[in-house]
Amino acid sequence: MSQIEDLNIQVFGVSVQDAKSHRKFIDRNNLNFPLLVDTGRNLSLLFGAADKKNSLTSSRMAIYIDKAGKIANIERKLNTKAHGAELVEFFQSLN
Amino acid sequence: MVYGISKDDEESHREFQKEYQFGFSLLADTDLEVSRLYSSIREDGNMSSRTTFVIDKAGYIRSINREVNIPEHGSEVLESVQETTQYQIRAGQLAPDFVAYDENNIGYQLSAFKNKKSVVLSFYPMDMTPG
Repeated sequence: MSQIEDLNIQVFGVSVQDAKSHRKFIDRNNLNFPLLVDTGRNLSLLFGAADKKNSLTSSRMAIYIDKAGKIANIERKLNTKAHGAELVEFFQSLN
Repeated sequence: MVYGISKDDEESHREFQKEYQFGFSLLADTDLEVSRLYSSIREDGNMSSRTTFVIDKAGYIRSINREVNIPEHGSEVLESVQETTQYQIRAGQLAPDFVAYDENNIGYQLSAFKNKKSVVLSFYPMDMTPG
């Protein structure tokens, strides 16, 4: 995570579960970034992560937003294990 | 948000709702004010005509369907909403601003990070799944 901090990247997880579920998830997995509560699916719909057919959850995807506020990349093929390293690499390539 | 609307009163709507359990609210337009405003009124002036309006989040009418096919109506409405109001998120465009709250009810506004930090939004289906 330190590389992520060095690069000045704020990471948010987003899913449709509520705050209580998120807290449990963070505790169990020692996550060191916040999880946004998207119970109304507003964010998921806004960023195209809501799956039309399965209306209950969001699909796995990441939106990379650069410092100028522009969408720099939309990653739909997330490798959950390498996700951290991949996003470090991506933002390094921007600099 | 879906509303059904007709000139019937609340009591009639409650009965109708009890029988069919629509999953959306029915509005009572007893004096046909709304129906008149939307020109959705029958020629005899006694009843609303069957019309569906799709209004987007900005308040613009996106589609008017006067040939409502009742059994197919739900999926038709969904389709027309998707066609008319969906916009595709693309790399290179400005990210739409939002306010969201985390697990400790701390609020974040995307635009507050501008010129300070890059932001990654990592969407995932469920807590307790990896990632």
